Amino acid sequence: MRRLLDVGINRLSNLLHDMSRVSQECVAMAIDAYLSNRSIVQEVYTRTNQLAILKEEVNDLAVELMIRYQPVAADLRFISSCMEVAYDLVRFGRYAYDIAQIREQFGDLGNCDKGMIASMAEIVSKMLEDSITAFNSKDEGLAERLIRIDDAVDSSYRNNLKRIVDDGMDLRCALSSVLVMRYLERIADHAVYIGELVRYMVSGERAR
Amino acid sequence: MDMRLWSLISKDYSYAEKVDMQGSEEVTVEVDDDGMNGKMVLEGRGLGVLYANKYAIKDVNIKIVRNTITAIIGPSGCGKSTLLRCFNRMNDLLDARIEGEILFNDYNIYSNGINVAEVRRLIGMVFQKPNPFPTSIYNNVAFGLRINGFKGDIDEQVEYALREAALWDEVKDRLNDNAYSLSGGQQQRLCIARALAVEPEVLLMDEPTASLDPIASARIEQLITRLKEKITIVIVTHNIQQAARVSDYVNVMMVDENMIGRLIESGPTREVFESPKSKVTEDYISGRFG
Repeated sequence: MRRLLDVGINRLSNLLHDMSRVSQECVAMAIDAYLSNRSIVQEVYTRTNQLAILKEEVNDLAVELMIRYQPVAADLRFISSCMEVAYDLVRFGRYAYDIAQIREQFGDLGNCDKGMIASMAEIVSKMLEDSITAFNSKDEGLAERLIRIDDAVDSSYRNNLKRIVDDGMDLRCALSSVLVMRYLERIADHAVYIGELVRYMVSGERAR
Repeated sequence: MDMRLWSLISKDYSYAEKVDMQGSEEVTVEVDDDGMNGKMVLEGRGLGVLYANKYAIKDVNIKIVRNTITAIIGPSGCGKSTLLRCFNRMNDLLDARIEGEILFNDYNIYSNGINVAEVRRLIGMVFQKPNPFPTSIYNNVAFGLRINGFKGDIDEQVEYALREAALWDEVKDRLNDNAYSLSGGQQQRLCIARALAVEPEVLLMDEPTASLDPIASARIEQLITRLKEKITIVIVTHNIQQAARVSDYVNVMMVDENMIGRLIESGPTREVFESPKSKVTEDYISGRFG
């Protein structure tokens, strides 16, 4: 039996799909532009605004569904998770915007070694993609894997920091690299938060 | 295992005959330690009810924690009211056969020699439709006191009960009016006052707001929530959201393939409504059937 609530939940899912697509675009564009030393800040900014608008829509709809249907159990867990995931997706966009701004703040970074960033960005982009896939397919296994990969990202972040200090890198290159790595590390954290929400949605178990 | 001393009667009733007990008043028993010892006021063990040799409910194990509100929910015909009526032997009036036992303060109320009237005083009941007696508001509340041989000041006790039922301010100047002159919601609160007058330990409520409008229902819910400070409440309701609003614990009943009522899930309200263990519970509370 299709319930009225199901129509709303379907709409909520579609909004989250739209947000996922835009946030992935933001991160991919920002990383690509940074690695190829291009300016992309305006394009990313436009998308972060879209994300903010979509997040408001998600929250409005989630609140309306709660008022109208007082959802419980899996419905309740899904709707409350949507509100939190919407926030995580907005954060993806925000960190992408921060990465895009590095080029504006530091100018030409064409001479900097970006090898460390490129390998870290590859892992983090995959985490972002996996977190969205796990959410859409309620794949608890994939969500668990995100938590393990994040440990590797954190470790890579610390090692890279040490390398930058030890290598005596050019100040502009060092500072910009540290900032981008920090933003990537935060994107990975939000991917993990989504993974924890997937676990909550599926099993009702909250992350401690 | 836990050894503890218990009393067959947990209150000192100055005005009524105590439950007819078999043996001494204080007995040492061994009970399973599941963390609820001393907190439980009622417990059903292996409970079954048969009407004309057909099971209405079977193998029900349920615990009611003192000073809490326990909701029993489930679709029509699953045995919620039948289970509720077991708690104060109201099924006796329906020619039902009972299996298992109901422990009230650790004493089986289905034991031989039990004073059933006293059980029903200690475990009061309020029904779906308000059923005041065709007499004055005052007499409705005083009735139980008189038949129980209450020795104190009846006026005081009537006022106490009406205050507890959040009705005093509305009726204090018209206590001699006929109870039927009250609104539906007021009549239901009068019935609650009537039950509270004899100072029960447990109040059983069988869909107490089913015939009331939302405002009257909200007042009853507010009242129930306040009453649990003094007594234990077991409420049967069809309104899942009402169970979510007012209860501390929820018990979900369902019929099996033989149309016999079964208790399929019990737990703290938040857990049952957020992460039910049973798929059947999930479907029922989410409105997928029932």
